[in-house]
Order: sequence, then C-alpha cells, then structure tokens
Amino acid sequence: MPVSEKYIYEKWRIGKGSELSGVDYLRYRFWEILPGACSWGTIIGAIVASLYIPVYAAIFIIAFDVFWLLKTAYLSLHLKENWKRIIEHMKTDWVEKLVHFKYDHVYHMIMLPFYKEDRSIVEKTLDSLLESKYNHKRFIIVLAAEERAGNEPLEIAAEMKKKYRKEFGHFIVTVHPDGIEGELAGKGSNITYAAEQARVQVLDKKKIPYGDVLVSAFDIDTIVYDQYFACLTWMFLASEKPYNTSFQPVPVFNNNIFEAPAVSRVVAYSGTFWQMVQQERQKRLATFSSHSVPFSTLYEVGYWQSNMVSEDSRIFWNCYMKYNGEYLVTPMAYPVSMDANLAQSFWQTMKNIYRQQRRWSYGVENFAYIMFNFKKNRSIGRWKKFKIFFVNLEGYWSLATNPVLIFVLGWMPILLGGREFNTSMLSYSLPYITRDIMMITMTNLILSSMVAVSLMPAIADERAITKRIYHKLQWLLVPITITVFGAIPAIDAQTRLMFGRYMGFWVTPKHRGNDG
Amino acid sequence: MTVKKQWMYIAGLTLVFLVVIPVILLYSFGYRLSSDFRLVKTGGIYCSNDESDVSVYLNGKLKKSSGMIERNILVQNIKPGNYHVKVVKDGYRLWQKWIKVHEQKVEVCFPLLLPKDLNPEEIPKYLPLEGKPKKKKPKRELNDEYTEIQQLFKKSRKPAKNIFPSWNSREIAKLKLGKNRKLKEKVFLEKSGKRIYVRWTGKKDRLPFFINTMKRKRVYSSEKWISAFEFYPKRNDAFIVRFIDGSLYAVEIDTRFGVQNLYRIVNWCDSFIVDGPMLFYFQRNKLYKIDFER
Repeated sequence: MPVSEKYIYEKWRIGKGSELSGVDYLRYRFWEILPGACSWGTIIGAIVASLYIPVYAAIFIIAFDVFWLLKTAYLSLHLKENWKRIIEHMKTDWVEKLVHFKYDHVYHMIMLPFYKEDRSIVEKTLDSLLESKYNHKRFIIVLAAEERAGNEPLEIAAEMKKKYRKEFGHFIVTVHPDGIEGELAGKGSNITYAAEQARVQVLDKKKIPYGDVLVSAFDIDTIVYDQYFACLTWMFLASEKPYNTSFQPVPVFNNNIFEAPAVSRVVAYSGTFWQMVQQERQKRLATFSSHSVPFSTLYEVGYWQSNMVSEDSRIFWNCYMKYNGEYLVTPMAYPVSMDANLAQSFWQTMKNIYRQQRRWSYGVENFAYIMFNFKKNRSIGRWKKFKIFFVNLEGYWSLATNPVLIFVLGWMPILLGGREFNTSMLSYSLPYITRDIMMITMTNLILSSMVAVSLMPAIADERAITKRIYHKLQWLLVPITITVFGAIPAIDAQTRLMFGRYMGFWVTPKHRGNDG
Repeated sequence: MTVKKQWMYIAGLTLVFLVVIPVILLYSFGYRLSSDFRLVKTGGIYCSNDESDVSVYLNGKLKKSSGMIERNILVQNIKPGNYHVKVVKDGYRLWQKWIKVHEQKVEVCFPLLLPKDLNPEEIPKYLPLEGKPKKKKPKRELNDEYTEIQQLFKKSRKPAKNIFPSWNSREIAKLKLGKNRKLKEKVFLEKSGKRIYVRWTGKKDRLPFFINTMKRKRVYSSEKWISAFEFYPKRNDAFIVRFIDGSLYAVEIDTRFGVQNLYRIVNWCDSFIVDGPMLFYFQRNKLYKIDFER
C-alpha cells in the first residue's frame, strides 16, 4: 500500500462534519445527511404515494405490516434465547468457575462519572461494588467529577473517598476541567480525562500492566449484581482474543422501577429488550451505556472520543477502525441495573424520557464516522463494510420510520387516496387487515411482559398479584411509546444531524423515591 | 443464538412472507376461492351506520351483524350482481335498497334508521304551579326552554350570519341561503315547488357517494307542494320535508339504484325547525320536541 494511502486511525477521530474541510467535509456531511434523508424520504414518499398511487401505497403497507409481524417474531425468538441465557448466567457461580483460571492479576478499573447526582446515588453504587464477589483490593475506583458542576459534587466525592478509600484497592477522585478546547462537555470527555489520570496516578505508579486491567465505564447509577466482575473476568480470560473485544452487559432499569410511571417502565424495558436481542446477534452488537474494555486497548485507541455525544458506542467503532475490523463485542448476557427515567412530576418525566431517547438516537452520528473511516481504511473487506453499512442504515431507518409507517401512515391511502380508491375492496380491506396483523403482532408483547416481570425485583407487598398484572398490562402502551418515545426522537435526532445542528450532551437527571 | 439457527429462522420467515403476501394481497383485492377452486373476483357492501347492534340482510339472508360497540358493517365476499339489502335494528323502521355490486368495488350506503316510536315530548309554555292554589289567579311563569325555542323559530326565518366571516364566505354568499336554500357540510339543497335539488359544493375528489355527481341533481319530487325543508338532525345525507298538508317526512338524498327511503315523522304540524340532534315542531300553539340521539 502506498504511504499516502496508509490509514492513520488517530487522524480520523472525527466528532462531526464541521471539523473537516474540502472533499472530506462534503463526504462526511453526505453520510451525516443520509440516514435522515432516508427516513424523511420514506415518510414523505408514503404520503405522496398515498395521494397519487394509493393502490401501490396500500400494497406496500400490507406487505410492510406482514414484514413487521415476522420481524417482531424473529426478534422475539432472540429475546427468548437471551432471556434463557441471562437466567442461566445469573444462576452460575462465576467465582467457582474462575477457579480454573489464574485471575488474581486482573484489576478492574471502575469509571464512575457523575455530575450533580445525589450523595445517596453515589453511595448506593459504591455499596453495590462492595457487595461484589471479587477481591476488592483489585478494584480501582475512579470517581470522575466535573468542574462545571460546582463545589457540591466535589464535596461529595471527597466524602466518598474518605468513606470508601480503605475498602478498595485504589480510589481516586478526578475533576474534569471545564472548557477544554475541542471537547464537548459530557460523559465522554469526563471519563477520558479520568482514565488518563488513573493511568498516571495508579497504573504507572503501581506498575500495573495495562493488559491486566479491565475498565468498566459505568454511569453513576449503575448497580452491579454481585457476580458481575467474576463473570466479566471469566469472559475476559476465556476469550480467544481478549484485547480485541469489549464486554457488554444487559442494562436493566430496576433501581427505581416501582417508582417510575408505566410509560417510563415500558420505554426502559424496551431499551433492555433491544439490548437483549442485540446480544444474540453479536455481529450487530456495539457497546452501549455501561460496558467494559481492556485498558491496554483503551489506551491504544486514545480512550473515548471527547468531541461527540455517543461515546459509549463510538468506542467500539474506534476499536473496530484501529484494529482494521478485527474487533467484536462479547455479549455477557449478565445484567447491570440502572435508573429508569423518573423526575419530580409526570410531565417532567415524559420530557426527560424524550430527551434521553433523543440522545440515544443521536448514536446515528456514528454512521458518518463509520462510513467515512471505511473509505479511508482499505484493510477492512468490502463485504464486511457493506454489511455494516446496510445493518446500520436499516437500523436507524427502522427506528425512525417503522412505528410511524404502521401506526400513522397506514391510514394515509384511505385519507388521501381519493374517491376512486375509496370505493375499492383494497381500501376497505386495508384497515381490517392492518388491525388483524397488529393484533397478532401484539401477542409478542405477552413474551415481553413475561420477560420484564421476571427481570424485575420481587414484588414484596400484599398486592403483589395485582401489581404483577398491572406490570403486564402496561405493555399495551407499546404502540404509543415506540412512536412518541422511539420514532419521533429518532427523527428529531436525525434531522438535527442532517442540518448540521449538532447536539450537545444532555445529562439525564437521576431521581429516586424514598425507597430508591 | 448460533448463526446457523439465525439463518434457519430467516429462511423460514422469508418463506412465510413469500407465501402469505400474495394470499393477503389477493384477498384484499377481493379475490376469493370458489367452490370449484377457481379464483373469482368479488365485491362488497359497506353500511355506514349511526346505530350499533344492526343486522344486514342480502336477498333475505342475514349476512352480518354489528355488536354493541361497532356500528359500521363491511359485507365482503359478494359476487357481482344486484342485491336487495335490508338493514334491520330492533325498534327501528326497516331500511332497504337495491344495490348493484361490482367486482373489486365496495358500494357504500348510509342507512337512515328511524325509531318506530319517536316519542315526541311536549314543551309546556308555562312552568307548573307550585304549592296550594290561591284564591287570586296566580301569575304564571314562562318556561325558559319554550322561550328559547321560540327564539330559534324566529331566527330560522332569517339566514344565519357568522360573527367571523369564514374563508369561503364569498362562495356561501353566492348560494343565497335562506328558506328554500340550505347548506350543510358542502351539501347544498334547494327547493323549487314540489322538488328538491342537491349540489355538491366541495372538491370533486371529496364528492360523497350519496350525491355521485358534481351537477345539480333532482333528489326528490312530490305530488304535494313542499312548504318547508331542513337537513335531517346531524346528517347531511337526508332531509326533512313539510308538505302543504302539514305532514313531516324524513327523506334520504341517496337516489342510487332507483330506491329512495322515505319515512313519516309527524302527521301534522304548523312549523318545524332542526337544531343539532333535536326536531322541534308546533301543533297550533303546542310545542313538541323529538330527540334523534336518544
């Protein structure tokens, strides 16, 4: 390969199109625009087709309904499979399994970035780490505060350090300075700064080999189940290429599940289910939210990108590009518990859900990064590139358009099709067929509700049966939640990216009731 | 899940998709399998009803009934041809029509279902006297409802004017609405002697099935003079006529298939008005009301 064409990964850690110029800018912008253009093209296309060629629009809608039914069935099979694996993994004694390995050299660096969250939330997370069945002296706790959050978080951090310092092997507090040029204030820039501090202050000082450290990038509300680190260590040691993989647990939102409103619960569990499905499709799996990665790998790729929003999934693509496609995510099928969206009032909760979903949907910014780097990196095979292109584009398109096509645009041919179409059998069959297909599709929710109830903490009070029924019935909200808190925020995020109105990082406020 | 298993599922579901789609599409287009296993094209009849619990009969055979909640009925799988359609509901007058069904088309009908017993209720002019009768003749108190309706009768003689002009007020002004010219949801009715004419004032692609032409069309002609008419309560596909002899009839606009249903409402009255779901009429100085939503 000529020197000029050699791919230099470090050169192309792009956050957004505006960081480039010339042809590269145009190319990057094209990939930023494409997902939004496809989604809008579909929505506008469906409306225009309903107006001018309603018969073809109706045929498309019927075919699409059937496709969606089968797709849902297909995904449900994955969900069921992963559910079985989670239950099996939860029952497994990972500490016992670790006996077959030499593992005492493995350290766990736990990144806990926080902003303005309550003391109790930080405390509970640290307590859960103490309850882990793993040698706590092998834990390096990095409590990563933000300078821009003011003094109170720093006081909490100092207090936590005082309280827990002796319990763990290492405990450091880092304060991410405000206003570093080229950075986007958010989780990515904070943990990148913190990881480097931890390297200097702990790893180098104590001469801990980078390859022996597994970094778990958590949120401040991430509560680990007691065998999480044992499970993670086992998977790391059993991996064929342990430095070419990230480890992904299943995020369940159990911390405050009984206090959150039904809409919040359904949205939260829908996210969990999507992750469970993806765990069964390893080649489509990218890191999301809380994840773990070997420090040596992290160091080689330059930590998380600090100039963009969705650093949690970008770190996977960074590694993928750095190692020329030789990188995978290992699905752990083991849960970590986080907070479902909950605010002081119902409407504030709804707003927060929307904002959080929009931020997650803004993961579409990765698409431009992937495609742009594919063009630069010739070491990755074309077929591999095409598959990733298709899988990602289809994923963003589905998220933004499928619920709208099914629940809203399905009626367009009848509303806009005109008189001739409205006297046809097809026009009259359309709502009945759509309704029947949707009813069959909704039966998949029975499985969803069963899985959700099984993953929830036990309901202890006398009204357990009534509550359990209620927690199953809440799944009837799915048509609303996937449209209002799925498709619409996704369209919103894609449209912003399309027009170059880049989003900043929005920190989801954490709130728990008295029991939380 | 293993990749092999995934591919098996994908292959299986793709096969299901390829088999199911043509079947559903053919069904949607009105194709059905005949007794000798041939594909035949069928049509349908759609009854847009105001009432629930309605049954539809074709050529005397019960085809479909709506439940307690559902109102509209789609009768499918009908071979092209002429059918005598009856729409039946307990306690209501029979609605019937001859309908010609075409292949892959649905004929839409809007049955005008009228209760057998309309239960007219008198609105007294004065409120009943309270307490013991006194020696002196007491002053009687006027019933507000009566007064309000009396006002409505007075108002109905003048064409209504909106406080805020609507976007199409020019077009409406051209119609010269009044005693003999009425407009409801783009359906324009005009009385001329013994005849009533209809015209659709909306866009062509929104033309209702019960009018079926953009031209002015005669929808009713009688042997008796028509003294007044109004749109039927809460419907724009039917109207109420008062003949010179004082009788009131409900008439549907739909004249397709040569049948027009017509029902007597009141044997005799001096005048009448329609307000929302209510019909009010005077018999001499007595005022009555009929609630069509009851």
